[in-house]
Order: sequence, then C-alpha cells, then structure tokens
Amino acid sequence: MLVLGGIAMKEKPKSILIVDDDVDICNTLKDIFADKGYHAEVSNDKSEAVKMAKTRTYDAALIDIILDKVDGGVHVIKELKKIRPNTLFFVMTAYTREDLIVEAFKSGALKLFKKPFDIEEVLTVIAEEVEKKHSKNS
Amino acid sequence: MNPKTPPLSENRRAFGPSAVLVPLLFILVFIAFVVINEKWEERNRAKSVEERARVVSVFLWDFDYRPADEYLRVASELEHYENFIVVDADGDVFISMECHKPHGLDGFLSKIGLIRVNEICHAIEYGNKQIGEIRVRFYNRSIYLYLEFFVFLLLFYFAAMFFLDTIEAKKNLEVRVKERTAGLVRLNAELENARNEIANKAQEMVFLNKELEVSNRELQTRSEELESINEELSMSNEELGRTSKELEKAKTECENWGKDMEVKVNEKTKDLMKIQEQLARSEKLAVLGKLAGSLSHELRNPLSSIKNAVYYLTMPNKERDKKAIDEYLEIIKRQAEIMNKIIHDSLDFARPKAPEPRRCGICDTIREALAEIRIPENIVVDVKCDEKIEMFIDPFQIRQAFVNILTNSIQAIHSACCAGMDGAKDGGVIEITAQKDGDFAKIVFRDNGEGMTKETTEKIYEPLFTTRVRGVGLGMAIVKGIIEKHKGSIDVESEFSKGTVITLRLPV
Repeated sequence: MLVLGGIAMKEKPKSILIVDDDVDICNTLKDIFADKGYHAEVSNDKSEAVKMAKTRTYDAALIDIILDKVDGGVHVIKELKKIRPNTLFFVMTAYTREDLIVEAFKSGALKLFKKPFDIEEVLTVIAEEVEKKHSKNS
Repeated sequence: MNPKTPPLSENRRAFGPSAVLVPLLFILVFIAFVVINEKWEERNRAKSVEERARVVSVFLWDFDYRPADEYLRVASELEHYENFIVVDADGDVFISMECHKPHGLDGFLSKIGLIRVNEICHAIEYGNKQIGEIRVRFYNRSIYLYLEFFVFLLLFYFAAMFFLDTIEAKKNLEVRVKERTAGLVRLNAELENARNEIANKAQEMVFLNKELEVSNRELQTRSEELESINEELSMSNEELGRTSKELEKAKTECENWGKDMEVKVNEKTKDLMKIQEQLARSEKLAVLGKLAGSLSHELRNPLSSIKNAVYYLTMPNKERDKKAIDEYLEIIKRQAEIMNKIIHDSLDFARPKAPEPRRCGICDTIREALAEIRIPENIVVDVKCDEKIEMFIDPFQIRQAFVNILTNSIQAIHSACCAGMDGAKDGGVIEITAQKDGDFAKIVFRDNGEGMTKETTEKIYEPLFTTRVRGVGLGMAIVKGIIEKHKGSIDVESEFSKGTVITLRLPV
C-alpha cells in the first residue's frame, strides 16, 4: 500500500467506486484498479451504491448508465452528486441511447466509455482527472 | 230485411194481466192478514181484560183499598191501552188511569181516524153480584206500519219487473240494431260496388274514346311516316354500305389495342412482383438490421468482461497466482458462453431448424431444462410431472423452449422482489405441472413474478420485443416457433403484479 510503482505515497490512496449490474465486469475492473493502486469498491445495485457513498468518500465513480431500470445509472449519479459533490463521475454503457448519455453528462459525468472499452484509456483518463483534482485541492 | 226477426210488439214483455193480478193478490192477502190479526188481538184483549177484572175483583173483595200503583201494575200488563177505568156499582169512577196515549205519528193517525180505538168493558163480580165494571180503551196497532212494509214490497216488485223488462227490451233492441246495421252495411257495399262499376265503365268509355282518337291520329302520322321512311330507306341503303366498312376498320383497331394492353398488363404485373419481392426483402432486412443492432449491443457487455479479464491476465510486470488465473479463465469462459447463447438464439430465430423428433419422456426434458439454468436461492421450483407421459418430440428444441420460459419467470420474480410486490415478498415460486389432457400433454408454468400488463401480453411473441433493460427479445418468439412446429399450442395468462401462467399443449 505504501509503495506503488516505485513512488513513495505519503498521501491517501486514490479511491474509486464501480457500479455495474454485471458481476464479472465489476470484479475484473476492481482487480485492475486495485493493481493500479486504487482503493476500489464495487456495487451491483443502485441503492447499495448510494449506501456505500454515504459511509465514505470516493475520488471517482465509474457507473453503468443502465442499471436494472433504463435510467438507473443516471439516477445513481444524481443521488451520489447530492451526497458527495466532489466525487468525479465517469459513465460506461453498451447501448447507444443518446438521451440517456446527454442526461448523464447533465447530471455531472465527465466522460463516457463505450463498452467494450480500452481499459488503458479508462485508467489513463480517470488517473489524470483524479490527479488534477488532487493538485487543485493541495 | 230478415224475415225471421219477430215483430217488436210480440217479443216485448208488457205489463200483462199477471203484472196487475199478482200485486192485487198481494193486497187481498194482506188485508185478510190485517183483519184476522185485528180480530185475534181483540179476542186476546177481551181475555186479558177479563183476567184484570178478576184481579181487580179480588182487590175490591178484600175492601182493602190498595194504593194506585197496584192498579197501575194490573193496567201496565196490558198493551196498547189508552185509559183504564174501574167504576163501582153506582157507576162512579173508582180509579182512572190514562196511559199509553198514542203519540207522534200514531197520535196524528188516531186523530184523523186511521187508528181505531175500541173500548172493552167487563163486569167485576163478587159471587153473582156485580160490584163494578172495568173499562179499557184500546187503540189498534198502527196500520201505517203494515202499509209501509206493504208499499215497499209492492214498489220493489214493480221496480224488479220494470228492470227485467227493460233489460229484455234492450237485448232485443240490440239484436235488431245489429241485424239492421249488417243489412245496411251490405246494402252500402253493394251500392259502392255498383257505383265503382259505373265509374269504371265511364272511365273505360273515356279511355276508349281517347284511344280511338289517338289511333286515328297515329294512323295519319304512320301513313306520313311510311312515306318518309320509304324515302329514307333508299338513302340508308347507301349509308349501310359505308358504315359496314368503318365497322370493319374499328374492329381491327380494337383487336390491336387489346393485344397492346395485354402486353402492358403483363409488364406491369412483372414490375409489381419485383417491387413486392424488394419490399419483402427490405422488410426482412429491417428486422435483420434491428436484430443485428440489438445483438451487437447485447454482445458488448460480455465482450467487455472478456477484454478486462484478458487485460488483467496480461498486465505487464505482474505475476498472477494459479487461483487468480483460474478465476479469470472461468470469467472468460462464462462470458463466452453468454455470447454464444445470444448468437445461438438469434440464429434459432433467423434460421429455425426443423425438429428432429424422437420418443422421450417429458419429465426428463423438464429436468434437463432446470439443470441448464441457474435458479437463484430465493426461488422455489415445484415440479409435478406425470412420469408416464412419453412424447415424440425434438428434446433439444423443447428443452430450449422450457429454458426460455423459465428464464423469463426467474427475471419476472427478480423484478417483483426488487419492486417489493406482494406476490413475491416471501420469495419466488415456479410451479411446473405436466399431465395428460386427451391426446395432448398439458405443461403449465406458473410463477408469482411481476406479471405483465395486457399490452405486454399481446406483444409477447413479437420478435425483438422486450421489457428488459438487457436482452434481445427473441425468447418467446422462439418458444412459439418451436411449439407450433410440434403442432402444439401456447397460451399466456398474466396479471400485472400477480404473476404469469404459460400453458403448453403438445400432441402425445
């Protein structure tokens, strides 16, 4: 935990919340983000995700737009934004529903990743945004 | 006039001799009764006066002058007396009592003499010696009472007679009036007929007259026409020659035109058929396009998992232990299977295979289907299957149909649980029953999931129709195709928030 990629990390590790109703996607993403030094947590259910956000803060959240209900993901972003306005929101989806994508951006999403996404790109973008936020805060 | 009708005077019951004689007889009998009654009364009175005289003689014999009321008692036992006098031997009044003076109407009648008053005297004797006399003046019972009763009886008799007579006369009159009316109606009808005949004859005459005039005129015109026709005929002859040539020409033109039309129609028909083919093809392409779109979206999720897993396994500078590698390979395998199923379903729908039937037990097929899917822990599956049912079916296709139905039930129960519906609050239940029903096997799938609205139930077999966030929407379309190919039937009953019952009938 203390030494990541040869850099001494005195500051808090980056944290991310991953929300998707596909268990395999959640688990693979969790492992990958954990390998990259994040404190990663996952949820397959929107109400569980909201509960988790209430107990701790996350630097970033990666949320599927469609969760059991068509606009489930958008709903989660709106709820989390109320509780944790400083969290950075990223969305992913397998479907091209323009109206939902627009709605997600309006709700505060920074970037959309279309499934099947290039995981390197996802890691890079999220890392950059989190860095930016940290440097701003410090 | 009907000769059978009797003359009015004969039929009528007049006040004949009997009508007068009967009341006369009444009167005579009545008078006789009154007279006899009077006489009888007088006799009785005489007797009672005699009795009183005896009683009074006892009073007098005693020389005991009784008080007046004793005499009054003796007197009061008499009826209809006006006064009661007892005189002694010298003719001096010993006691006199005025009683029962006729009053009211009787008084008036006695004044005018209608009520007779008679005096009865009787000697009061002591031994053989007359010591006094008793004199009682009686008035007779009011004759008026008798008369009143009699007159009433008489009046009633006459009224009854008159009433009966009137009814009889009325009946007779009615009969006569009816007969007369019928006769009049007949006569009227005959008259009407005669009048109509006359009118018709007159009209005919007028008509004949007119016709005669017309024929006359026609004859004149005909003769004129005949002359002109004669002239025309000679001209027409020439024209006919010309016209027949023209007709010949027109006929050939028509024939040519007909041939042209036939050719054109054939061409147009071919064009239309081509267009129709194109339309059918484009419709098919539209469905396929939609299917392809839906398919690609559905494939993206498992593909994403696979890509992530591969990335994880191939991350540089990372050593993975065997457990992690196995776990990730399992993920890849699972997701690849999901993808395979999606593609398989689409192919089933796009290019359905003919069933390859063979004999097998329906219960085995149900068990195989249940083994193929993962049943969540909160769902109880209750199977009641008649093991004796053997069928001639394609077990793979029927199993596929069962799997599709069960998958829908599981998803419906999951949705019901998420929405907190009453039906599934104590966990989901899927009941499967298979039993024989005539020449068919009846397989019923019942779940207590979220159910469907009427609109959804109607669209359930439409390809690419889905209410789920995920899924292509081919499940029930494939089921229907399979069941129909097995010459069976499918029936869906569903109520929103209650559950769904799917009934399959397959020939045994």
